[in-house]
Amino acid sequence: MKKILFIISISSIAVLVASTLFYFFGKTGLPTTKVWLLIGTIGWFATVPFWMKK
Amino acid sequence: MEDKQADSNIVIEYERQPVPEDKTKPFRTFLGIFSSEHVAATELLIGSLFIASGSSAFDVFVGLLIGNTLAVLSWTFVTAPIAVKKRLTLYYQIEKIGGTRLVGIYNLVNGALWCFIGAAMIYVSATAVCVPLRIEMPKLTAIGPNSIWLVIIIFAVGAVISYVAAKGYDSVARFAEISAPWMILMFILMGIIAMVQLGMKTPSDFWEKAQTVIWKGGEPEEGYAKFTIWHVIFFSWFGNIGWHLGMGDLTLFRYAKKASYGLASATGMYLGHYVAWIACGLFYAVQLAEDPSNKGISPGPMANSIGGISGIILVLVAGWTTANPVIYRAGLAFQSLRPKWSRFKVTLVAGLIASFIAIFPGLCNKFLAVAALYGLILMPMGAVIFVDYYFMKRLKMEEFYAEKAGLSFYLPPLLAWLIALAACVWLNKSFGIEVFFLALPGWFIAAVLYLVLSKIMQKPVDLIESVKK
Repeated sequence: MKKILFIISISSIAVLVASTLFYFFGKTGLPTTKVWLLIGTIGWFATVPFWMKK
Repeated sequence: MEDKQADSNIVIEYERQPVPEDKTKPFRTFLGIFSSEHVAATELLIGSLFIASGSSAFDVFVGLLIGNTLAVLSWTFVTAPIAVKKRLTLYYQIEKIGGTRLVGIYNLVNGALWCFIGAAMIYVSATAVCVPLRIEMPKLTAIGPNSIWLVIIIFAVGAVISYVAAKGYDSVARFAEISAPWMILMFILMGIIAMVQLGMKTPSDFWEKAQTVIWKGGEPEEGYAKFTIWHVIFFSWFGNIGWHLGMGDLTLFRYAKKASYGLASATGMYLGHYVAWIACGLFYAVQLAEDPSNKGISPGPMANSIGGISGIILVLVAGWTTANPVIYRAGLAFQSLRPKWSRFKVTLVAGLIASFIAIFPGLCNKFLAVAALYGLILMPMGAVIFVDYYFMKRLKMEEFYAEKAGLSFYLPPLLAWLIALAACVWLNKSFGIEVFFLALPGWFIAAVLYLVLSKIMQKPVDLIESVKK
């Protein structure tokens, strides 16, 4: 389970980076980028507490 | 697991004894602490204020590189060697040098200053809450609040932060740990988005726009000091002088295996005080590009226009996670004056004071001067510790004199502190030397004063003991 959550966290970071790069290269608009940033943010905060050691 | 748990408590263990060799922490611990502590809410203010102060692109990019490098070297060659050799907290070293009453005075001053820094962080967080409520933000020249709603939100945010801090900030420390990597990444990504919004697509675009659109140089905004490359260098070097030359991070580096671990400060300086400051300058430039008359420093609305809801979350999280430990430390500093006081109540009072200060946006609008003043006030005690460590024995005097002489109060450190600050005020008033530069002469003045006063006032310890007997 922790592995899956870890993969989701890393994927969330990938979403954040990819959405910014898509915007940088003109593939998406700002409103779409903001939505993907929010998805990546939710993905990160929803999964990290379960695998990141205290 | 235990190691990591200990990392979060790193500043509150071994308060009155040297940290044992086997309890030292690895280099990566310091990398993590610096990268998370120096990517904070205040970066959102500082990055914008460089633009308001009329900095040019060259001054910002080169000045920050030089100033941050000097800060890293200060941690590595001044703070860390003493920390590793003595392995004592800042407070315990001050107590040994100047006695328990001097620590009390230092704590009072430190606690009051923490309230000002905490206030800035509460204000930054409150600007994020203002976005969905569509509350108008204060102007760049504002000193007091522009609406009752802003005051209510600031007190509401301050109340939540203070309550959590009063309960002990373990859970927030955990939340800060989780958010740190995301926060650093978001600063960078939102900086890239801001670049696109400013029409920067290639490296040559970047430099051209940086010079002509963002950091244009020229005259500063009304009421602001003109920031030259020297201002940028000294601000980035001395922005954290309380921690390096002021020795605040003795408490942290007493856990370092070697003095070279001071180099870990590079993560905080180059990520937080280089990349994040530049990114925040880009955020402010976007705001000015959208509405040139909107010059107010409002991190919430600024981040919203670039990153949307995630941007608002970034400002809220950056403010909250950094304000909590600051209010907590202010509470501890005040409580140390009267250990019988309830830490919970004292922390709430500290939070209340910080919230009250936060209702004045003038504090954040002038944050460059506030940050410089904060370091300036604490810096002389660092000079005292430096001299005590390197020169006392060599000049045949006693180090840790108050402890050895059994004194609860030893005057030279306090005199060196106060006279050095008075000399800084004199340099400012008589020669017009700005607050950003005063810490350098002030540090040397405090060092020389402590040395001379000790030479005059130190009595042989064995003589004092025989008189007591």
